[in-house]
Amino acid sequence: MNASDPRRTRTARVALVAGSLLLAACVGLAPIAAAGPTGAPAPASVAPIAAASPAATQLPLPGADARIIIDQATAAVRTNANDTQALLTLGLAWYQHARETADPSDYGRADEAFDRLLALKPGDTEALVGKATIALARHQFADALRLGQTAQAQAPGLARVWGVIGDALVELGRYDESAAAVQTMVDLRPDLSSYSRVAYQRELRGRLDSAITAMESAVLAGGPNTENTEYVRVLLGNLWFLAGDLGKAEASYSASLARSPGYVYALAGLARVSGAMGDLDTAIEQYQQATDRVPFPDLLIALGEAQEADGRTTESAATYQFVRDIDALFTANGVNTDLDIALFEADHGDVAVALTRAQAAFDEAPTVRAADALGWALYRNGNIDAARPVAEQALRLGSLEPAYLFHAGMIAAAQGDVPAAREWLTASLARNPGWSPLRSPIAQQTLAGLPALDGLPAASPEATR
Amino acid sequence: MKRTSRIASTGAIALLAVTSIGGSTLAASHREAPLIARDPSADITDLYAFVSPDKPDTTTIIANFTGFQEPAGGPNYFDFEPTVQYWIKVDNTGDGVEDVTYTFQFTSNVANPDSFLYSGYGPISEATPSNVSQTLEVTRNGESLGTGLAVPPPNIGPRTTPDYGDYASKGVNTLSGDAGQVFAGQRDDPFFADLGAIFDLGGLRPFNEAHLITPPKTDKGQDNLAAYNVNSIAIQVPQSQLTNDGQAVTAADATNAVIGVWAGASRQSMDATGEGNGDWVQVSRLGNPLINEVIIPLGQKDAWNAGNPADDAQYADRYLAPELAAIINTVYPSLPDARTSERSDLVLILGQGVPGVTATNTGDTLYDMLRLNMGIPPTAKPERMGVLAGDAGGFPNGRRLTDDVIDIEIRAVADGYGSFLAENFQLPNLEPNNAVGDGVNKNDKTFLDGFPYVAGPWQGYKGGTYRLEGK
Repeated sequence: MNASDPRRTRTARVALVAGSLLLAACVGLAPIAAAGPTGAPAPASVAPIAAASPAATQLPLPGADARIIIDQATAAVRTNANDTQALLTLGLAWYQHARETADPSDYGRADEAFDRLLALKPGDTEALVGKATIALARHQFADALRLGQTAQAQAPGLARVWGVIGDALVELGRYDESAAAVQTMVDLRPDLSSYSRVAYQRELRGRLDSAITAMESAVLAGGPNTENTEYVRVLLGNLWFLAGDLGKAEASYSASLARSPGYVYALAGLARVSGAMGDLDTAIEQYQQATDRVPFPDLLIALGEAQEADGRTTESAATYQFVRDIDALFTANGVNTDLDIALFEADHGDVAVALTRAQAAFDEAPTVRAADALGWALYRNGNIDAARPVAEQALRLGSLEPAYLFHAGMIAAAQGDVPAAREWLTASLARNPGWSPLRSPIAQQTLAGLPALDGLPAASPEATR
Repeated sequence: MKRTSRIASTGAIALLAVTSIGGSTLAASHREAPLIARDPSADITDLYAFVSPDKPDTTTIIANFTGFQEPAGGPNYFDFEPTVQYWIKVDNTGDGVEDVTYTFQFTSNVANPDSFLYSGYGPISEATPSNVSQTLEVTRNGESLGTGLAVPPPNIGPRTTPDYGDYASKGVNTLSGDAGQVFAGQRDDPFFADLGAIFDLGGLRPFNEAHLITPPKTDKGQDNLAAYNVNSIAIQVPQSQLTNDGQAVTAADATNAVIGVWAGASRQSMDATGEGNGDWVQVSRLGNPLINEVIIPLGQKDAWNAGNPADDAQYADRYLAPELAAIINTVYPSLPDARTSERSDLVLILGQGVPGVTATNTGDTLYDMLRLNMGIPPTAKPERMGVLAGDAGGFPNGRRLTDDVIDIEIRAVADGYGSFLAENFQLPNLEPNNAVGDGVNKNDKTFLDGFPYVAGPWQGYKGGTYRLEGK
């Protein structure tokens, strides 16, 4: 955070006395964002299109602002090992650093800081919320829930403990309970955090229009020039993408990038739009720009798929290998990547590994996402009949996710269930026909090959490679 | 004025807001939406209430929102948010429940959404109207007192808003039915405090050498709110609009003389899985300065922000044993210790009202309201230390723009109440606790002589130069 940052919160004026205890009190005041890559509004030259972006070299390194805070907090703790405020700051800074650099080893550093804080202040709510956040990031959702519930027991009037609980419950597939937690959160404090979670609850259940409304409210509630606003602005862009309104999606991503130069997920959003419009060259450039800046695995997968769709098989193979390398790093740092790798390997690698990991994830928590991954992994292993009911489970909430619909449709086609195949494959393309450079053409071809009447041979799993 | 870098001390604050940017792990397998988001548009920063010095049959209440506005805040500036309901509440029966509620709801109009400009293509005028503009509706107890009321544009610069005073004066609107006047718009932030020092482990620059930790030499206080703007909502209403009998106040001991004021903002909840918005939920409130920040514990902040004065008795323990007193004792070891428990004085002054001055007929119950005795006439020469200096026209009897609430509250918590309160209310008067302060005794801009009293906003075009010039 630079000294002349305009977005200082009012609560900075707080307090007559600072001392470590008071600063701890201030921590809960959730002020306006300040640190992070945004500085002044972006110069006009930041253009995500076109090859070498000269602006990229003028951008701060990812995680640079978090690093400043890490260094200061580390120094403070070295001076005084009992500085609980500095420990909390340190934990949060490491977490932020991980978010900006995709370096999962930071999670352990963050967790350690929170543990040291808990040793000094047993049961400290902020430390528990911090640990829960790390657990969520590592996809250890049962742990996250437990930590969130402990925090909630002592601070039921703090909206964000309900956010942590709601996030964990969603990822455990306990959808009704997660909705109740989010309802509690938004009834306690309507703001960007709770509005964006309402949007997700609505999206999960296929209520796309009201999800967009809620996310628009979240953007408005972020106030001017705040980091959190740009995150949800990208989420809004993703909803417009889902709805198939590429113009509005592009506008959201561009607006986010303009306000937060170098924001990788905004750039990746623009890449998605390019891909959906059929401009693979631009999509690949944009994904490359994004992943050069921060190698987030999900963006690497998207890059690889765009390369593959464009016939650049050598490049895509290299990209996929990079994904595996990064996955090894995440796993080594305690992140549970079962679900993500299951889908990745089912499509681009070892289908046996895919099945093992999808089964593990599903056994852990039968979420709609795990059902989708397991159903697809079963299918890719040739076990069509087992795949079908599992893939249908992914649709049980009414999700409009094209990947779920595509997978279910392909499985139904393999079974020769023409009506179901036609319904789901059509639905997967209904809103955003270009949603996936790899899968959209397959869906279209498969649909075209479906017989008007039952009887002709069904598509085979290998045809999807 | 050189800004102090506050990275170290406010790192956690900055971080909490950024915890969401960057995205998640592998395939965004779960949503890592922000968990900690400040709500600047709905964030109330200060509340003032006083008998209007130039119109003593009226009371002025000013509620400020969305602080630390950089003057060069384009292209969006810091408009009031249309989805937020801003409000001021008044209790005139002493039960901590509002009897009079003013709401302020804004509408934004964008003439040309394809333009990036806030203004039109020229100085804002009838010929070249602003692209973005806001209007205001005011209600009192649900009844509209005016709609489509003018809200002045931000002070953008000499090309867009030349002679800014003209624009601002158009923002003074008359309320219907002789209900008073209202102004809502960008103003200079009237608060003044040395936050840089205060956050540096309770530093008070003029008292650096008394501080526990290797003190820098003694220095002058810095006003870290200098050259920032804020959004002000100000009303000036006849006293009879606020009293429990609809009459003017005739004496300080009249039964209708004292009111309790608080203000804040609300947003609508939502149906978590379905459609539509829910009830209005209060997301911020403020009565007395610094209660939320210093008295209320972290784990209860959101609940406190959503709560009402009528339920404030649950926080009495925090007034009785204020953490702040212990901190002062620790970092200023050469000062005589303030009491760290049984601080019924703080409950009285901040939660119940000073007897004979601002005591409402509430008995012993604690409500956080800014209490104003409208029967005490405005002081001709206000003292910044308010009641501590024997000036009954100031804080904690209401709060004037010139009252130095930082110094008043530091001294009160430190048991340095000053001779007036010591003699008249037998409150402690430790020395030199009764002389401490942050060294920032007045606002950077002079206040106006008339409504809305808060000084005009800093100009966007000059934006950064205010800080470079060392103001």
